[in-house]
Amino acid sequence: MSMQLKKAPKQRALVSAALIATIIAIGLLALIEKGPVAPGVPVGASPLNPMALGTSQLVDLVAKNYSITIIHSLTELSRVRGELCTYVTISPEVPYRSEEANSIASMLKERCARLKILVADESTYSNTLLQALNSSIRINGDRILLVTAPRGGETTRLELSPYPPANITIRTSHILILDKASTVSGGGAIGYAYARSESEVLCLADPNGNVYKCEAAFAIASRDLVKGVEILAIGDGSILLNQVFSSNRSEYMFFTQELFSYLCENNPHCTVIFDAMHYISLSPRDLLNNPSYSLRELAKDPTTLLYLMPSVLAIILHPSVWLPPLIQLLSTLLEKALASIAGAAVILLLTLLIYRMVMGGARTSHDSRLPEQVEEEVGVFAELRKSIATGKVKLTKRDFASLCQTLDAMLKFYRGSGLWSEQALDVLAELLGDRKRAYRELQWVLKLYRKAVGKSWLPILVLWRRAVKRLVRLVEEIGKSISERIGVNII
Amino acid sequence: MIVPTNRFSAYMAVTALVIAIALLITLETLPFAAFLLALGIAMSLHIRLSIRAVENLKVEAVIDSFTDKEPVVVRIRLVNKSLYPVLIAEYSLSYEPILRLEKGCKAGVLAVPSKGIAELVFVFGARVGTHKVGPLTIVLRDLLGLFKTQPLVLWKGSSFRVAPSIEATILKRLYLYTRSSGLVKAKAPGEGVEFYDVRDYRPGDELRRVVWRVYASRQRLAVWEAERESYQAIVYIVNSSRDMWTGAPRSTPVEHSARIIASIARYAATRGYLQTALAVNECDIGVFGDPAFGKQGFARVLEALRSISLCTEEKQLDWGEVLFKTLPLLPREHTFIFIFTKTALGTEQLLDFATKLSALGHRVYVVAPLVTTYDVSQSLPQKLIEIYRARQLEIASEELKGVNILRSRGVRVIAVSPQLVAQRIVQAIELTT
Repeated sequence: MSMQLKKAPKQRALVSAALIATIIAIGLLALIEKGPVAPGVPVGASPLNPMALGTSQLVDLVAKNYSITIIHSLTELSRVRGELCTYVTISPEVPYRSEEANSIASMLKERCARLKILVADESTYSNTLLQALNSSIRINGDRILLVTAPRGGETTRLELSPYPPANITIRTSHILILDKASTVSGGGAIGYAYARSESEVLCLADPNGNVYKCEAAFAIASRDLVKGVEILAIGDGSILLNQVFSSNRSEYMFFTQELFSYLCENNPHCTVIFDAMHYISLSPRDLLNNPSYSLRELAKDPTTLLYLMPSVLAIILHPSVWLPPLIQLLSTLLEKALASIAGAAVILLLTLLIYRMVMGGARTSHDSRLPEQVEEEVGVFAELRKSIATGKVKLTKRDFASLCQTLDAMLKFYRGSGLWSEQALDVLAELLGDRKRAYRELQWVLKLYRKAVGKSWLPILVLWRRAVKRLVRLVEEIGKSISERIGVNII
Repeated sequence: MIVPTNRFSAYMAVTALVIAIALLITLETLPFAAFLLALGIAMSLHIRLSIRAVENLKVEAVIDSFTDKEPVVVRIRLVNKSLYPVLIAEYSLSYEPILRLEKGCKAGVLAVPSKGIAELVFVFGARVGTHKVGPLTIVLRDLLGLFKTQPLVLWKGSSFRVAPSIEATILKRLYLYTRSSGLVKAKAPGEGVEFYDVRDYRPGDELRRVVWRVYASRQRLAVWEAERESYQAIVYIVNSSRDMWTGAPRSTPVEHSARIIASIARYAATRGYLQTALAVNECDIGVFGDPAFGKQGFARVLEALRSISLCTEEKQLDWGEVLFKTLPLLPREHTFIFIFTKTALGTEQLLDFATKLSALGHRVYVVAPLVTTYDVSQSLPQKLIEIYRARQLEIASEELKGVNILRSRGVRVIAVSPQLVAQRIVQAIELTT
C-alpha cells in the first residue's frame, strides 16, 4: 500500500475504433449532403438581419399583433393564404425581375381575399413590382438633400444634408427624419419632405450627386388603389430599420404601429408577408473570394462585423465548405504523384529526408493520461476479497479443519472448554438447544476433522465444498447463540 | 521537460509530404506547408509560454477539517499573475487510498485565465486521524496535442488532522449507567481544590478557610470544604495498524475505538481523572505527554487520537518499543491502561506487554474490537460468498484464539459488542476506584 498513484484498471472498449471512424465518416457525408444551416449571412434591410441595418425588430414588433410570414422563395409565397394580406418590401438590394414581380402579384391576388402592399424603398428596384400591380406610383431613385444657406457670411459654401424632415400622414401626421430618401411620383401623395426654415431648401441629386432641382417640398409617400389592392409607397426604408427602433426616439415606433394598424385594419387575422428574397447574403466563399467587396459591405455597419464573424466561422467550419475542396485537392495531388512510379519514389524519399531533418532525432512518446488515485479498502478482509475475486481459491479439507478450529475457539471463548473436550457435547447442546442434534453434529464434525487432518480414511468419499458449507452454517448458528447469551458478536 | 507526442511524429510526416509535393509537383501547396510548419512552431511556443505561466502560478491551499462528522474541504486556488493563460492542463490529485472523495474530481482538465484565478475544491469524507492529501500534479498540452510536458508538481500536498466526534449517545448512556448502577461514589469532603460545602468552624481548621461573609451576616464562624479529589490515572493505547482500518469508512475498529475513547475521556475529565493516550502503529509510536487533569488531559487524549494514521510500510507493530515509550509516562502504580487492539497477530508480544505492565501494579485491559464484526458485506457472486464466509470465520477464529490466550494468562480482555465497550470500560474504572 502506498500513496503512489495507480493506473486505473484497464477497460475494454465496447465500441471499436473502426466503428467510431465509420460513424464519423457517415456523419461527415450527411453534413456535406445537408449543407450548412445558412448558406450565408443576411445583410442589409433583410428581416433576418438582427443588426442595425436589418429589419428583424420590425418583424418582432408586427408579430406581437398579427401573424407574420417571411418569404425566402416563391414556393413559400405559394403556400400563403389569408383573409387580409399585407406584403412588405423594405429597401430591397436585389431588383425585382419583371416575371418575378408578376408572379408575386398574381399569387398574392389569388391567395388573399384582400391585399395591401407596402413598399419602403429609396431605390428603383421595387418599381417593377409596382408596375406589375398596375400602380401609377414610382420610386424615382433620386436623393433628397437638405440645403442650408451659409450663416453670417463666414463661408459661401452650402451645407448639404441627406437627412431632411418629412411629414407623413397615415391616420394622423408624423414628423420623421429621413435618411437618403427618394421622391415618389404617382398616386395620391400622403407625405412630403420639407424645409424647416427660409434658410433651407430641398434639392434633388442624381445618383452621381449632381443637384438638378430645388424646391420647398417633395412628395416622399403616396397611396394608390388599383382594383381593390391598396398600395402604399414610401421613398425611404430607413425609417423602419432596427437602428431607429433601438434609438431613444419614439416617433418611429408610433409611426410604425399606426402604419401597420392602418394596413391591417386592426384585424388580428391579418397576415403580414415580409420579403426576404431580395437581399444579398454574404457567404464565406464570397468573403474569401472577394475580400474587398466583403469589407466594403461590412464597412457600411461595423457592428455587423461582430455578428458576421462568428456566423461566418460557423459556416467555414462546416464540412460541406472545406471537405469537398480538400478531397478534390488530395485527389489531384495523388493523381500527379502517382503519374509515374519513379516520381512517387522520389516524393517518398524526399518526404523521408525532410521528415528526418525536421524531427532531428527527437524521441516521441505515447500521450497517456495521468494516473489517477485509486481508493482502496484496507485490512485483512480487503485482501481476502481480492484473492477470492481472482477465482483461484476453492473450498478444501483445509478449510474444514480451520473451521473446526474456529468452532473450538468459539466454544472456549464461551465456556473455556473446546471442541475436543469432554464438555463439548454439553456446551453444544446448550447452544443448539437440542441434545440429540448436538450429538449428531459433534460426531459428524469430529469424524470429518479426522479425515481432513489425515488421521482417518473414513468416510471414503467426502464432498468438501458441501461439508464446509454445512459447517459454516453450524458455526454461524452457534455464533448467533453465543451473541444472544453473552452480548458479544464474534462473527 | 517538453516531450513531443506520437501525434507530433504523424503531423510532421504529413508536413514533410506536403513540403515534398510543393517542391516536386506544385508550388500551390507551399502556403499550406508553411502553414503546417508555422502551426507546429506556434504550438511549441504556446506550451513554452504555458510552462512559464505555470511556474509563476501562485498556489494557495486551505484545508478545513474538524471532527469526523463534518466533511474535509480542500480548496486549492491557482492564481495566475502572468499575461499568458494556462490552457488544457490535465491534473491529478493524489491522496491516501483510505480517503473517499465525495465531491470534486480527482483528475480532470483545468484552465487558469491570464491574470485570473481557478479554484479546485475537493470534499473528502472525514476519517479520524492524520491523513495526507497531495501532491497535485499537472501535465500541459498544446491545443493539438503535439507536445506535452513531464508531470509538474503544482502543490506538494499537506496533512490534515481530524478529531473523533464525542458521541452524545455514548456520553449520555455513561452518565445514566453510572448513576443508575450506583457506580459513581457520593461526593465526600476531603483534600482537593473544588468547592464542596460550607460548615461550622471546628478547632484546628485553618483560618484561611473561614468564610467571612457568613460571619458578617450570621455572626458565626464557618469554613469552606473542598471535595476529595480522585487521582486515578488512565492511559489509552490505540493500535492503528492496518487491520484496524477494516470495514466501511468511519465504521472501522480504529475509528470506532477513537470515538469511544473520546467519549470516555470527556466523561473521565469531568470526574477529575488523570489521563493521556498513545497512538501506535507499524511505523510510529505517538506519545503526547504524561497523564494530566481535566481539560488538559482530555486535550492530550484528543491530540493522540487526531494523530492516528495508516502506516503504508510492510512492518509489524513492535509492542516492546511501545512498552519502552509507555513506561516513562506512568505514575508509580494503579494506572488503568486500556489497549485498543486486535488480538490476531502478535498475540505473544501483546501478552508480554500486558503482563509486564500488570507486574508493575497497573491494571491492564485489552479492548479487542473483533474485526470480523466490522466487516461489511460486499457484492460477491454467491459461489464466492461461501468461500469468503469460510475464510472470514477462519480469521475470526484467530481473533478468538488471541482473546483466549490473553485470558488464559490472566490478562483482562474486554471483548464485547461495539455498543457495550464504553460501558464496560467505565464499569472497570469506577468499580475499582
